[in-house]
Amino acid sequence: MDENTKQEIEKDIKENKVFLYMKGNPEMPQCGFSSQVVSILNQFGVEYKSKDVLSDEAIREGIKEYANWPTIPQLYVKGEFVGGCDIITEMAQSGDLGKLLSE
Amino acid sequence: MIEKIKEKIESSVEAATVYVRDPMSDGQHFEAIVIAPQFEGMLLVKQHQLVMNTLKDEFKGDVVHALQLKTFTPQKWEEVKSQYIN
Repeated sequence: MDENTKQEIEKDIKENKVFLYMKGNPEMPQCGFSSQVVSILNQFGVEYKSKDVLSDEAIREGIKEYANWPTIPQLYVKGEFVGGCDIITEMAQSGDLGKLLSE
Repeated sequence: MIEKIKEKIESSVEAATVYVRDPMSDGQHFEAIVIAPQFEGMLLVKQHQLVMNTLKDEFKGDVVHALQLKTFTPQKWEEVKSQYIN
């Protein structure tokens, strides 16, 4: 991954408490798993920013390397990779996500 | 494809018990349950990273579009398995 992709990723996730890399955007998700995470975040009513990886191939591949996670969506909270769709769904049910978002 | 996913996970997760299904029989969206002693004390995201990254190439080539994953330690599996194995 080239340096400016890495810097862009680090800027995104450091400057936004909650940041979601997804396919499409919150109003128009392009993939079922991305839209599932969007609806979970909306249920928590948390403020978040997102990026459509479909419009940026370098970011799309860069975050897989950065998070050591091979798929999209990817959710970051306070600069840390939290998980993909499965983990976010499980954490929402267990209450861990609510705790993490309110810290 | 189910066999290949099973073998790949088993080859990199020690002493793992792996169940793989293709619920929509579309050859693209798979479900897996992986039970392994080494998950003991491991963060959930780390457990999933370990399993998901064994299929990095399959995801890249979109040979596998998605893998819905559940991971358990052997002890946790004993508690929940009745929900999964009918």
